[in-house]
Amino acid sequence: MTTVQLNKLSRYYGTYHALRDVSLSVQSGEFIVLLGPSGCGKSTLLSAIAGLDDLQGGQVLLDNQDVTKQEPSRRNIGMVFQSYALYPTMTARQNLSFGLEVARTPKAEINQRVEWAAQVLQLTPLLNRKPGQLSGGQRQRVAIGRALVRKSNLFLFDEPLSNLDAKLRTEMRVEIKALHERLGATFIYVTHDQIEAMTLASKIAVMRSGVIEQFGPPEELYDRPASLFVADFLGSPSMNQLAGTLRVEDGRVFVEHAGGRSEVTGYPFAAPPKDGLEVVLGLRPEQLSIGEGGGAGRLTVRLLLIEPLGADSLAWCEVGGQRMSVRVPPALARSLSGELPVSFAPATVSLFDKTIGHRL
Amino acid sequence: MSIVSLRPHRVAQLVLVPTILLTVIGVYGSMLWTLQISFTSSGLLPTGKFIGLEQYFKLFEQDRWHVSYRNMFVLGGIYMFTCLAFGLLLAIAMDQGVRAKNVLQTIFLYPIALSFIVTGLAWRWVLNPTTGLEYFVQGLGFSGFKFNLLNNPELAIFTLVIAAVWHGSGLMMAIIFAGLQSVDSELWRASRVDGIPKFTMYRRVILPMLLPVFLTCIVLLAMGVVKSYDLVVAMTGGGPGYSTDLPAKFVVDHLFDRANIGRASAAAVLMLLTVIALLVLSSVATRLRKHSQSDQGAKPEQGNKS
Amino acid sequence: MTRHLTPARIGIYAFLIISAAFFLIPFFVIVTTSLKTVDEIRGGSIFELPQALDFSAWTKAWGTACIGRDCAGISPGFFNSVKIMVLSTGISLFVAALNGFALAQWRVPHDGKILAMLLLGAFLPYQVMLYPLVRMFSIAGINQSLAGVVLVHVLFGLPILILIFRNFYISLPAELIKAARVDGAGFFQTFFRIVLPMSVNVIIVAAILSVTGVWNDYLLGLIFAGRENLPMTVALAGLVGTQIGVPEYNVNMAATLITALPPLLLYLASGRYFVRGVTAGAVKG
Repeated sequence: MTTVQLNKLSRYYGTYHALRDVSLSVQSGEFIVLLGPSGCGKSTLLSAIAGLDDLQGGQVLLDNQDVTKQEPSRRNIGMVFQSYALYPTMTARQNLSFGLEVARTPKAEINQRVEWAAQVLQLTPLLNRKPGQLSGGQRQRVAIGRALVRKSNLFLFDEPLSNLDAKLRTEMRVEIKALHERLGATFIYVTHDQIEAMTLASKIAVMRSGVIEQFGPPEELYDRPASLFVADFLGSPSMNQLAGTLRVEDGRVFVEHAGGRSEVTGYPFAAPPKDGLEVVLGLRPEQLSIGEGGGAGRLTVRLLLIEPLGADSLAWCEVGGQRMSVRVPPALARSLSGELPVSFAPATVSLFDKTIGHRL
Repeated sequence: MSIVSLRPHRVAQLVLVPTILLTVIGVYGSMLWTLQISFTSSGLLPTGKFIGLEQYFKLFEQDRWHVSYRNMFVLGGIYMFTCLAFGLLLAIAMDQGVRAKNVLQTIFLYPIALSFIVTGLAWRWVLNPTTGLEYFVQGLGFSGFKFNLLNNPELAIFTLVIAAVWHGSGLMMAIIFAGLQSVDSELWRASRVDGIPKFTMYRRVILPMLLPVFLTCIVLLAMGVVKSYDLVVAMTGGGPGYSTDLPAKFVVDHLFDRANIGRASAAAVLMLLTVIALLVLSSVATRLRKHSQSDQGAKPEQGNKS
Repeated sequence: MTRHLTPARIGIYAFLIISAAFFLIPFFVIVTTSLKTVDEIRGGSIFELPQALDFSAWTKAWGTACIGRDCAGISPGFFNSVKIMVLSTGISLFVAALNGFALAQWRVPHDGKILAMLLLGAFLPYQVMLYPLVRMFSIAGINQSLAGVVLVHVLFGLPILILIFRNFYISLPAELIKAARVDGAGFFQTFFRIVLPMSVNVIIVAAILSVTGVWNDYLLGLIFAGRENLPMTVALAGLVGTQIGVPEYNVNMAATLITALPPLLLYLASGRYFVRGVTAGAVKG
């Protein structure tokens, strides 16, 4: 079992700040996903935890031990790389045992661990092949196996699925999740794919420009994004955003926007709402319903087109020059046309301060 | 602290230290020392007193130095041009989808595996007037045939050119041929659709594309010329007289046979300056080329604005 | 695709065949001359084939021809060249591979400048460094010795070899080295266990460049090797230069052929690697 504690990590390359005082606390056995667009610092953060990159400031604590200055191999971590980074001249077996050999583990122990890892990952028949003779998915398994044999309690994954095709990616995703449950170890996983993040993580850290924007369970990030950036990054299609002005009248709260005026009374404001504040109203496609039964919030939209997705359909509409999507049952979708009334429950939506982008 | 506990990038830095020291002392240190010696009156040992530029003035008064320095440019100019032209022709001929390409390439390129000593001796034998080519052609009935270059002070330099071209043009062919092969075959198909003759294609499209390759070749050939020493030793020994002397040989002779290291060092410094001038020239040429390319790229935009 | 023999194609073939003859003539002449007797040479043209295969010039060139006052042929030179070549190439390749790896995959401050400094040195004419090197070597006690000539070959050979290795190692994925680091391998373990086994091709290319360079050298061997270690090229030049009376051209040519043979065989055996080796040397920086 391993806990990870990061205190104010800072890394810059010349004038480029890859990490700005990043702090993060990971409990034992959690599956943490570092999520963000490329260049946000997520891989740098993973390298910092692994010890592959020097830091200009801050501390890395593993199980409350300061390992900031320790070599990666002393940190007892398993790491899986994006390109797998298998040693091309070694067989799968040698790839698995190399780290243990370097650490002078007794032969019998090495064999036992390799057999165990191979069995967990169904690699046993492939052990004598070289990486060049393995398929992408098999290479991926060997790469995971190399982390596994170290009997580490902390696994680091750097975009491990990005080189696989879509079908394999889904399969490996399930396998990695099953592996996490089987081992009970702490996993830290870097990706830019929000679906991977949502499906795998027990907690997601969304990063932007070297800063963690929000850290919490996937549902929390999805339902109550702390910023416009997080709201935009999670969810497909992304959250509908309506810019407007907050109006407070007789204890009721409204948002005035290009498509009219919508009531948001009942929204759980963190601080009392201020009249006249420039805001963005964030509405997930499934938080909107056609008709007036969805809640107190009202909008009138004009239907543009229907995008059938199978299980449901997306109705792409326009309101006040702004495009928005509404998730509707396929049967209903076929009957829609023209101007539509749409409603939402103010307690479930998101409101952001437009100027600083933070949740209200 | 033992090696094992060092961080690996420290080890990487340490690994470089011997090479850097060796180069800084052996190459750059030696160069500076030679520069220093060139300002002294040193003879057999580097102990002479400081005499400023005296050695350089004396050098310029020496006919042998003038001959060797001029030879470098005569030999260099003819050699570089011939080598490039011959290599280019061979490469283009090879590019026409001929049979036995591998055999031909092996034949054209094998001289590069041979030393200049071997090259020089072989050609000296072929060009030997009493037994070689001249004797052979006379034997065919052309009794007036004269091909006695080796013993003619005016012409002996051209024997060096022949041998050097023989040695080096295969490599030029290989480099240019690789460049020709890297040309996108769609370009050729497009030219056939447009009905552009092959010759025009080469002249207007392909060869301009290979300009960087030619620059590489020229730098390479020029460096070879400046360094060429062995070939002269093997073929002519600098003779007749010193008519085929080259700066590289001038320096070595003055260093080790004539015990005039002050003069030799001054000559070596002039060789160095020549090389530096060539390097500057080639980097300027490269930069100019890049510059003119970016100019061409910018022109259409300017047109739109006005 | 079948091609008809148009006049243009006939012209191309004629040009290529005449060129091939130009390239082959000296070799042909060396071989035939080395198989002739002295009388045959004096009586006939160099383009005539020998009347009989007479290898006596070869054995004389190898074992008994005189160079100055030593009449042991060029075989001592051959073995000297082998010694110099093996040591120089071995040391150069090892150091160049380590240095190339360090420059390509590890954080080395000013790595670009270091490489530029090394390569610039490779462009400078030897003549600027010869005399000071001789002095330095005699201070160090290695002037006119095997160690001296090997060191000078390593010094002048390293830059381009380092460049070849660096360019190869820079194409290795950085993650591979990181993975080895997570596995606990240090610089040398990573190098020997992971990187070196992947380097077979680049080692062949670099070895060819180094072997031909060292074998074909004349100047450095002449100045730094000393009488006991003179390489084959110097022995050959000496052999041809010291003949008194009627020159034995057959022996000269046999000696020339024997000297040319090792790199020539290497060239024929290694084919494309050789071209890559010499062009890698050609396309600097």
